[in-house]
Amino acid sequence: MSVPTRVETVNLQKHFEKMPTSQSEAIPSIYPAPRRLAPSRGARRDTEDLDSATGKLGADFQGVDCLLIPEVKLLLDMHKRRRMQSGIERPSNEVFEKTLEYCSRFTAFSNPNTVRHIKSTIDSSQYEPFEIGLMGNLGIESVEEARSLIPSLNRETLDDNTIHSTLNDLQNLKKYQAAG
Amino acid sequence: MFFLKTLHHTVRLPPQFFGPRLREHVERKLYDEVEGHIEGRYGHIICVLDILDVGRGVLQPMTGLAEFNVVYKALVLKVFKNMVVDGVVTTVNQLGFWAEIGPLQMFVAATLIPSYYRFDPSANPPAYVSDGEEADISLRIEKGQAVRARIIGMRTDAREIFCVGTIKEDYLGPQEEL
Repeated sequence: MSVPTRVETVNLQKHFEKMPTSQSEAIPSIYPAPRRLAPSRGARRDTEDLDSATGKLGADFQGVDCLLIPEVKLLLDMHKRRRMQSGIERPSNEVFEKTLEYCSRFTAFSNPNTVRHIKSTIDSSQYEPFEIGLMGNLGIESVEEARSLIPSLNRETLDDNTIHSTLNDLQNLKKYQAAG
Repeated sequence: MFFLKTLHHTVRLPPQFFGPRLREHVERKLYDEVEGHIEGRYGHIICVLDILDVGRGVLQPMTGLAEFNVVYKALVLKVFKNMVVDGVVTTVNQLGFWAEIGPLQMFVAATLIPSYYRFDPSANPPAYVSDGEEADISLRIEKGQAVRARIIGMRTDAREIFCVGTIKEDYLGPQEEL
């Protein structure tokens, strides 16, 4: 047989497209449909637009309350203790250990009572939740520094006084916390 | 940045575990499959804090596995482009340096380090040292040093998330300890 010409190949393709597919569809699949394995093109484009400089965090994280590093540390410590007591064996988790180490190093507040009050002390009405998170975590001292490190603060509705008082609140909390 | 998220995961349990301690097996399998892993949309799943609902198992035809749709609360770590983060330097060489943000790897290339930092290969450990009038004992980038960087790009693969960062900006660079 000779190699099929291009016209023939095209015809073959058309033929396969016309073939009834109802038979194969009738068998229930036990595997997730392929679309679940690969995100759709639209979803992928979504993730490329995420940018904390413009305040776009995507549908999953927009406006979601984020945790400060000291809070995470408390949470992980508590979790570790409870896990030891419960007796359910869990695999050693490198990610968990690394996170705990990181949080211990960069925590600015050592007193658990102070940590509990951070969120209630700060007036967060003017900010996105993630901006509060960044300001708390980075230990920012001046308004200029805040605007430079968190570009999304450079919007018109936010004046220097507001940022200044928030930073002051944070610093006072840090300064006057009881020794933990 | 750390977030608390309610997520769900489908656990497939083989028939040998169907018995009095079924729930325990489902929970263990969930911890195995989810903790410390990466979910593209949510970043690192650091730990499962609470299991909200295990759901009713549904037997799959043909395999006999039971599927449980588990809803759980988890602590996740997700970073975004242009976000400023603190990290700890792990490796320094003439191409740049690597830093760790908890479980996350970040690379800062030599071109993204301000020009007044010079690589000093003879130092032990190797370090980037600032020269000129700003020469200060704290301005050294070496292993174990805390640095502040802005994330300019990210790549996610199955096991790890890599970020590329820059410290060529005001207020970025090596930091004093808190």
